[in-house]
Amino acid sequence: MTDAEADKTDVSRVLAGDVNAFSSLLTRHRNHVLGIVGRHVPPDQVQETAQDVFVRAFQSLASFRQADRFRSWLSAIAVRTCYDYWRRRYRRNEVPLSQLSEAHCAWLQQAEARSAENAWQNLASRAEAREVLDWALTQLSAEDRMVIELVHLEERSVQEAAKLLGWSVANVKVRAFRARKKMYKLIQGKMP
Amino acid sequence: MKDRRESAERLARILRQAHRFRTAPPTDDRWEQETMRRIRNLPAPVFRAAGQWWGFEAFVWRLAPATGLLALLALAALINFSLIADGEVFRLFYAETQMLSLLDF
Repeated sequence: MTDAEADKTDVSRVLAGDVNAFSSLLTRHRNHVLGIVGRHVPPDQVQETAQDVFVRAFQSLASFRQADRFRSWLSAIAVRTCYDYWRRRYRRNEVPLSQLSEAHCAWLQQAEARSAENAWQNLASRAEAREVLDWALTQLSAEDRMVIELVHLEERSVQEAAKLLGWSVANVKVRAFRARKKMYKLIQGKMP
Repeated sequence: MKDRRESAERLARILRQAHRFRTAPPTDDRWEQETMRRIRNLPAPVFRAAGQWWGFEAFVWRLAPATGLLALLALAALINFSLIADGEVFRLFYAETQMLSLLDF
């Protein structure tokens, strides 16, 4: 039995009243969901947000159509849960506005230099890379943040991002263009 | 100009890679058990057979503003719309033999 077939069987069992059948779905897809959530929310929030994803999936299981793939359906729920997480944090003004240090500016200078061509993997693995990225993303709205992450950082197609977020393709396209421009303007403003 | 674009491309590639390096912290069985505990405390989802309207459901909220506007326009048109046909008004005046004048009022 393939994973997709096993998913459909488990979904039917849960909908028939066997809640324990959901644990098979949880075991089968937990790494996939944690992978998505891990790229979109801070490390200390990943476990709780991933739990929220499965709770939401369980609550809306009745709307799952058997013609769809459970994994794709779950991915959309995971992305929207991450988006809701950021919306909540922005609404409560809980997003810390960190400042870039001299070490970050030096890193940016190295990344911009032509020699970065050969050392880009090394530069990307450094903590400064994630911190600069986090700093830039923090300056954007929750919507821009999600679009930048999906379209530019994960290189998903506009159509795929639109499907995951439940937005129109035109909305994602316009937002992706503007958000990218905004982000690079922010970063370039910090370049020495 | 070209140099600027090249450096932006380089930076974009480095940031993409940095984003890919983000990984979820490892979870153990306890996390799975805790998730299932939360789920068991929820009411069971109720099976809803997909009817012929499921394809339309997604558009309901997207079409709601346009539908509201259309309803307002229809209401305004209905208020301004006279139910007496122009021909009928003409026939009434034509049949009236007495000369009408604004001075009579």
